[in-house]
Amino acid sequence: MPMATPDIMGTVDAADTARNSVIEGLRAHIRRIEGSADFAGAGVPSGGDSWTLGIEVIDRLLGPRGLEAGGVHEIRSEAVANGTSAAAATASRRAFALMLGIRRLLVLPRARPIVWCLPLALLQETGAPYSRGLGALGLDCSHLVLVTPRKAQDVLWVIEEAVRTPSLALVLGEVAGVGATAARRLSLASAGSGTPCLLVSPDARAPVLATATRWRVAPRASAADPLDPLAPGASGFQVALERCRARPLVSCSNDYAVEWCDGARCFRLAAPVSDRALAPDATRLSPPDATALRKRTA
Amino acid sequence: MLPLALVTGGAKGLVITAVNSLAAAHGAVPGQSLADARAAYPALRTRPAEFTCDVAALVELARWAGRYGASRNTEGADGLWIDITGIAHLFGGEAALLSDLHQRLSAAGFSPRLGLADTAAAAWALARFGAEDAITIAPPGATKAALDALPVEALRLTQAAVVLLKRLGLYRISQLHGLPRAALARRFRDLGTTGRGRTAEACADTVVLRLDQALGAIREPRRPLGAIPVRLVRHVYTEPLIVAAGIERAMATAVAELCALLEAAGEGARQLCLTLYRTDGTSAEVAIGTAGATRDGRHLTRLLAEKLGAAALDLGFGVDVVTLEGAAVEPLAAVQGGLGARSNTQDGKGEGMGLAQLVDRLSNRLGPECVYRIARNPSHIPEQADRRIAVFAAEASAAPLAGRTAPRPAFLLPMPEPITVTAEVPEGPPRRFQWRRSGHRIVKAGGPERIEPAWWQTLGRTPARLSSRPRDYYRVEDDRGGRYWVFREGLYDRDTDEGAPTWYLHGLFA
Repeated sequence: MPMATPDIMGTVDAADTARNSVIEGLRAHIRRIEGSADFAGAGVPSGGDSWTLGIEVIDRLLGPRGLEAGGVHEIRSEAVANGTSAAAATASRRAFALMLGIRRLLVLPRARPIVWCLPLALLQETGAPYSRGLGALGLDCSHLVLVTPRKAQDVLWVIEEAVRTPSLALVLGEVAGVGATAARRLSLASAGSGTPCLLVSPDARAPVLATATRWRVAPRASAADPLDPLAPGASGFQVALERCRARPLVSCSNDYAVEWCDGARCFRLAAPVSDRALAPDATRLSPPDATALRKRTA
Repeated sequence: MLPLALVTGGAKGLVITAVNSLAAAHGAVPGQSLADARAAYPALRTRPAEFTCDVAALVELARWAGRYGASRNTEGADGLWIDITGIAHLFGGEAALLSDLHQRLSAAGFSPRLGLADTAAAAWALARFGAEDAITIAPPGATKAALDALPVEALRLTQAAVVLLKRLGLYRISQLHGLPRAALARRFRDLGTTGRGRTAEACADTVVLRLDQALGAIREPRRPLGAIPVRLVRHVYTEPLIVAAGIERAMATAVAELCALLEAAGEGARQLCLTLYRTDGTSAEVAIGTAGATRDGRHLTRLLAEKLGAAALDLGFGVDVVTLEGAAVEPLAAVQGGLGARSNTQDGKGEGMGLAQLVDRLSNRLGPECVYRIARNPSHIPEQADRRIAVFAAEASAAPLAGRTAPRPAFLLPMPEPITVTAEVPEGPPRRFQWRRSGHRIVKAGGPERIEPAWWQTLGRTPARLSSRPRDYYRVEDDRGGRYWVFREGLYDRDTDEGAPTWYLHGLFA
């Protein structure tokens, strides 16, 4: 989708001005049809009720309205090739989705339920949600409705039924191999009901789907516990926004090290890892360091 | 038709369990050994008896009999009972009901004997020991007269009690009326069991009890097949419904009617059961449950339609009777209908209503155990700290355990999985561990947090129950950023017969 570019020409003649105004009008019309906000102006999401991560540099990528409430957001993992265990990758993916859910609950005026579709096989393989652990992250389990279908063919049905239901805070579906048609159906259902849907899928190389956003999440070394330097501290993720429908990405090389802050229930950028042994390659560095590295090599 | 007998293996060779009328005419009787029957009539054909199939077929017949009365069940190995209290007039009277039942059963290939009386026991006796014609009706209040001519076997007594009665010269039920009750009771209570509780045999021995049950002096509660509906809608179709669309239309009509009934009574349904009675004497059932009382016809129709679609019912030769039973109802206050109410119920836009309808649909398709919430359980044992509750269950406010606990993982494995661990010092945190065939190098470790088993678990401790050992939990992080909750079960310094401590992985942190 083309972006509306500000007029950078200093002097234009009248015909050009007229043509530009017509084009601007048509673009505005298309935006009205698509129902998206005016994304010509850059800036962080405005207003307190938009659903965002709470990190300014990432929220800026999402555009002025933050994460779409009536849309499907996909969360994938990095390939397991770098040795991350599949269970740890699943846990980080799922936790990131749940944290987005917590953020969503924060912006809603009244608490609404989160429906989590967790196939039984996946529950047995990578663990069931544990109320005390989730409570520590800031999620009250009384808002969580778990659906554990036994059969794989029921999973998408459950997600779609849930997404069609208004008055939910969020639908979180863990499913592999969603096809383009299914993703489109979910998008339409979500746009109709205003219930956002988070698709958490294990395969990083699956075909690209027409979703509102797509995130790539990987586990990352945690910060040190302030009370015990040898113990793991706040949960860390390596997060990249790969796709954003509302505001197409200028560059795809955004990759951030973020942490979850339990008390404030928000994400924050992680401090650069002090121990180099824990940061095996440049992609695991936080963005300022990565750009510095790139400049140095250029 | 040929002479046929069903046989099964007995202590002394094959024994006949059932015969058809032709075989009976040739002298074969159930209980006879096959060798004896073949000696009398060598051309007797046999088939092995299938008792489980017999039971299943009888239950199926009892289900079908629901078209005459919702309270019905099987009786013994070869009988059915139907409670038709307040129902007979729908069929044009008791005689018309029984003849209709007889005709349908005969058409289905049965040779039924029917009895109708004020009490279940009397009906039992009339059906089995009644007059020669297959239908015996004892008019209301005339049970005693109808029973008088029957033999004492009709009282459902044990063989020993029958033999004893006959030895005393008591052949007919009428002869029992004149006897002193105390003596009769004493005589037959002492027979057989020594009177510890009223087991079935003990009941069968007590002639007085059986007599009172037959005459209605003592109530005899019976357990019906399925729940007795509170609200019932029953539609009979003169032309059988043979296409799925017709069934759906009939269902929608029945639901609308039931919802009107419920609304008039100020109730909402929690369980519905749609039963389709086919013309060939079989039936099919579709049952749904709801998370909360509702009388939203559109919602209920949708739930039933989804179940019907999933069941892919075989309509056979068509369905002529459709019943919709509200098996469980709860009070539900009337809701103001009006301008906004229509859109609320139609789109499910009411706040809680949307979730309730979603939960209904999910749990009807997946099973109610697949849709739940998690509530805290007041236990310090990690795997017992959570329990599942229904979505709309009132949450018992479990008081959090006193004191601040160490961090807990966001995801807990259903069972702790054994891992192989290399630790620097025996009592210290692991340095490396192997889980699911991949190695993990630990870079950070927090802990230990010791969790002792509940004291009552240690009482009857045996080596086989190793779970009653204390656990030391560690939070560890591997070099790839995965965070795990591992524990060591058992201690090194305790020199007991419990064996070496073992390591497990129990959960994953976010």
